[in-house]
Amino acid sequence: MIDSEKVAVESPDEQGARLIEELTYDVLSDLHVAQSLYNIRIYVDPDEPVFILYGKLAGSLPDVKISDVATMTHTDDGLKLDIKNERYVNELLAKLIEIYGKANILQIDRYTVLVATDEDIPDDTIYEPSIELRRNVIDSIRRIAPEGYRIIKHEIAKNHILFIASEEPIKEEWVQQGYKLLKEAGV
Amino acid sequence: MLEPLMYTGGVYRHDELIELVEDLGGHVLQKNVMQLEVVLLILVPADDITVVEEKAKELLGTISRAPLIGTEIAVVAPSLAYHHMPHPTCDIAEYLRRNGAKTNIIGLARGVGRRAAQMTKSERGLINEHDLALFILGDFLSCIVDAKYQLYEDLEIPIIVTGGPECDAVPYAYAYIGGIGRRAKGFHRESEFTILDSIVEKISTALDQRREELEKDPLSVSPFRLMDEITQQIPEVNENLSPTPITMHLDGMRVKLPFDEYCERVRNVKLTEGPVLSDVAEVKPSYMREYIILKIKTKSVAGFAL
Repeated sequence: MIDSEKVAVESPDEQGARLIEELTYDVLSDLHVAQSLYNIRIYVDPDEPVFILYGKLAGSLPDVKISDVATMTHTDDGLKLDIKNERYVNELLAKLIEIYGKANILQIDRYTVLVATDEDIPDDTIYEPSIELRRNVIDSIRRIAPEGYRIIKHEIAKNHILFIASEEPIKEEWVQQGYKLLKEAGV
Repeated sequence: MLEPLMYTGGVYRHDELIELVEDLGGHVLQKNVMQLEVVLLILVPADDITVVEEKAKELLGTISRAPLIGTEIAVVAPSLAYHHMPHPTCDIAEYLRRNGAKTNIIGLARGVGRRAAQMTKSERGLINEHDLALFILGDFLSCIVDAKYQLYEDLEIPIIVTGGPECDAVPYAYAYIGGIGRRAKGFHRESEFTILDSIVEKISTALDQRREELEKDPLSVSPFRLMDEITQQIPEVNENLSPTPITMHLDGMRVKLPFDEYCERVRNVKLTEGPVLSDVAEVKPSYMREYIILKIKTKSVAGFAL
């Protein structure tokens, strides 16, 4: 469930502010980022024209490494990987192809992959949930912002995002207003 | 007076209903077969509706009134991006289709924003080919009232505008319907369906007004009769895979045949009273693909009415 105090929209146009607030809830829950972007504050003025959004980013799941997905054993045929978690098989295969080339990899069945090497595979990261989350957060913000506002200035830190968009070149006062929102939120 | 109706029923024996409509002097405008279900858009003489209803009952189908039959409506969004699609643009277009209209969704090339919003000549020409245009606009009243009218102020057809905020009227539009705006969810609640119904009602009123205007100087020939003549004399039109190979307008039609290849044959379609089609209608290339647009001449222009 979304906390109703999570989104605060400020605008000279009161009806517009209410509609944007409703839209924000819908977009966030549609893209499954309602739990990841919170304390959202929006300032939108169509007469300026400017759209400023500030939101706090929740922490995401830790990175997925090869050892989280498969166990490795050396056999006579090469290195055998037993897949424990099938969800990341695509990412795993892509990584293996990147390191060893397609000709040196053989997927015998659904859960077994053979790699033609005698050495251990470096335990690389194959999937970063934080990147996926950021992509979804940025996508949702671009859906909330008015479509004509194509000049964008944004700032993404570890735990917050500031997004300023307009139809005109971004003015310094809008940036200052964005930082004011950040300050009010205690960043 | 022909009454627009929609028949929904099974495929089995539906041809009996088609024959009945044709025998009564009505027209079948569209036939959609979806697996075992068939939807027919028909026009039936007002006095004979009960006969058709009885036949529909016998075939275990249903008859409902679809006020927008025989019209083509442009549903215009500022762009085809996810800001407008699939909600609300597609939802509204679908609802109009259920009321019998033929709808075309048009996304403008540069319709977004306030300062840059504009319409190209070809977009204007394409929209003007329709009977009515419905503009789907956004959430801010000042944008809708002060800026976005530039998109439709030059159009020659009736315009209806929808948007988020509540407001009585907007410049250059026949009507404005609030409560929609930008949406990221479908229309589910009863109150939302009331808004969709009010769109249909406003469109019907605007089209009725257009029909009244046409009656002051009537068309030289009924568009439905012309449609039947074209279908009979140029059978290739039925080979088009579009659901409506001939799309009806209030004052003409769009014939979905390549203009260069077929314009002479269309111009020479013979009418039983003597004149050919080019005497009663203007034949022009359409802005949509390579299709042909027919605009029927009024009695005062043609000099006679059939």
